[in-house]
Amino acid sequence: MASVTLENLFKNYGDAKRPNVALKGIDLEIRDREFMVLVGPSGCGKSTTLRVIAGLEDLTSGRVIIDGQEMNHVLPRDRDIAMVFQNYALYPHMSVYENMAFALKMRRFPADEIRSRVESAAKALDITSYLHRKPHTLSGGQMQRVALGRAIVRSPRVFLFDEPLSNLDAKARVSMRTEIVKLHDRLQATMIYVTHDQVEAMTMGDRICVMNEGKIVQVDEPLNIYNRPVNMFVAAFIGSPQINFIKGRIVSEEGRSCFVEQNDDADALRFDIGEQLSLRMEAHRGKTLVLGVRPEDIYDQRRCTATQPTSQQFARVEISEPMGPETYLYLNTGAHPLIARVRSNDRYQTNEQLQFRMDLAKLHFFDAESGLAL
Amino acid sequence: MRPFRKASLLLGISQTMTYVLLTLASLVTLAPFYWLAVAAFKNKEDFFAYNFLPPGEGLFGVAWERLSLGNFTRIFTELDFANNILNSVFLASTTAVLSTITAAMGGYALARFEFRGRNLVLAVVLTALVIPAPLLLAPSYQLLYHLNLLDSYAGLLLPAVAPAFGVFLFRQTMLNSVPPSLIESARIDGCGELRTFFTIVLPLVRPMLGAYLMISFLGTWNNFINPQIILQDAEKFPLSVALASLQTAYRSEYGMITAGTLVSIAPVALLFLLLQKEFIRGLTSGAVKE
Repeated sequence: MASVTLENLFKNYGDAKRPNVALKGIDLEIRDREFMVLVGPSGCGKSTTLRVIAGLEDLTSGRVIIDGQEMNHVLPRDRDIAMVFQNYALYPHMSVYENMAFALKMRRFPADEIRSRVESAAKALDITSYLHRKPHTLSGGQMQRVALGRAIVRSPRVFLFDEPLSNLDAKARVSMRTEIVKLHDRLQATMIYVTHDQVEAMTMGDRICVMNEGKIVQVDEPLNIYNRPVNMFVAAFIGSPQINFIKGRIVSEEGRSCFVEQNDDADALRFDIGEQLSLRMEAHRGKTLVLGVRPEDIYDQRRCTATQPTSQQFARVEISEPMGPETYLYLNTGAHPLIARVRSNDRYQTNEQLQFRMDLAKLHFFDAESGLAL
Repeated sequence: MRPFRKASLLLGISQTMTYVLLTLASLVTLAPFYWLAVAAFKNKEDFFAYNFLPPGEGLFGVAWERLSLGNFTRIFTELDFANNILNSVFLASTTAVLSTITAAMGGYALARFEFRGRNLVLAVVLTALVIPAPLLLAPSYQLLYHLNLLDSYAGLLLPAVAPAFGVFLFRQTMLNSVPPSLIESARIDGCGELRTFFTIVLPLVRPMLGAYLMISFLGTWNNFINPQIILQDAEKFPLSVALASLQTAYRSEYGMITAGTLVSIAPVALLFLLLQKEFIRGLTSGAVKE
């Protein structure tokens, strides 16, 4: 297995006159045996980064290092990597067995070893029964298993996954997700996984690298990314339903520190942020900032048993979406829409007035201009 | 009348009409072949006397005794016909194989490689497509003269092995049938460019390979103008030129011409029968998204 180091990667698809820069100085250290997930919106450069590691794209500048060895001028076949593509990329004229054996044949492995490796990988992925079938006779999930098998038989130093679950239906996606995590646990291999799906990122990665507009925004463990986003982009990108943002400022009112929504409306949010938060935000008092509150940190007053300090507000229920164990409430304070995620114990009527509370300990504050977390 | 019965009656009438029209079209297409097949067996006197079989006392009212293999014997004894057949087979098969490989390679490069000047090359290919072939006869002749390639097979083969039509056809096929991720997967799996082309890319465009092999073979087999202009030595003549030489201002051997034509059709018909599945799949590939 191997570590992968990316040093100041730049990739310009255009030229000097008409630049089309996909990567703008990517620095990343992927540890040996780590499962690193690159996540971000379309066009953020995550797939380009993966393709650069694979050697499928040339770099404009920077260095790709695998296990201490610079790879910039090494051909894809000599990098000892395996890649699983979004559209499986199985050779349609070859059987499943031939697909899995192809890379080993190219490397002139003895026939016995090829057979034993393919059969062992097929057994592990439960695809033995269709080794002699052609790819077009398989379902999407089966094809992706074959694509995984084709990567495993090589025992490469690094596994690269380019949105491998995007083409699968919801059920197959969940099953393949756990399959890949188990595979990582079993093989203890270095894996780099590209996705735009935050659920995949949160559930699969040892660490997540959030990218936007060709740059890395934050690299950290999944829960740290969720609980301590470095800026509004990360806070908004990770988490579903999306975090609520409310622009306002912290002001002193009758000796107390209050957050006041920047809105002249009579229904504008206004609440006491408590002593602890007041101390933390002292330096930002009076400045325009953005409050971030995750939907699950908004509670229905009637069900609120939290002992921690909370704020108390009123809102009108616009839509209620029962999801089974929980319900998404689309609220309107009169000045601001909010999404809350509450337990499904109660039924909510449209236009019902709801008293809600926010968990003060879990509020996020961001600089209104830079978007950086405060 | 119930609507269901009415609909099925209309369907029956429309199907019958379709078959009648198709039968008529088949008759129109097959009539010249029938005429040719009959004419090849007729003697000189009967050739213009009767449109089809000479009437007589024999079976079906035909004078079978007046038909003979004489024309066939004459083309093989009086002419160097066996040699002409070999020349045609050699020229057509070599051109077909070489032009299919180069057209597939060219189309692959234009479809899946990014290189400086790619659009310019594509524009040249497209321009070459719209220039009528007769316009190029004189400049090609001059070029071959300067290259000292007149009266040689190379003079016929070289201009034919990189056809603009084939390159463009394969480019379009590659765009539809060869996903970039397959090529990338092959590169990661350990294939070099040539092996990727022959092991992964060519099998994906197999229907078009079959279709183009046949188009190219037929084109060369039937080509008359180019060998007529470029070749001077009768030893090197293909069938098309040899058959045409039977009709001059002073001599017209129609019996031999029809017998020769019949013989010349045989290999082509055989090839079509062998490759017709591929041919039809090739022509319709890309019409349906798979």
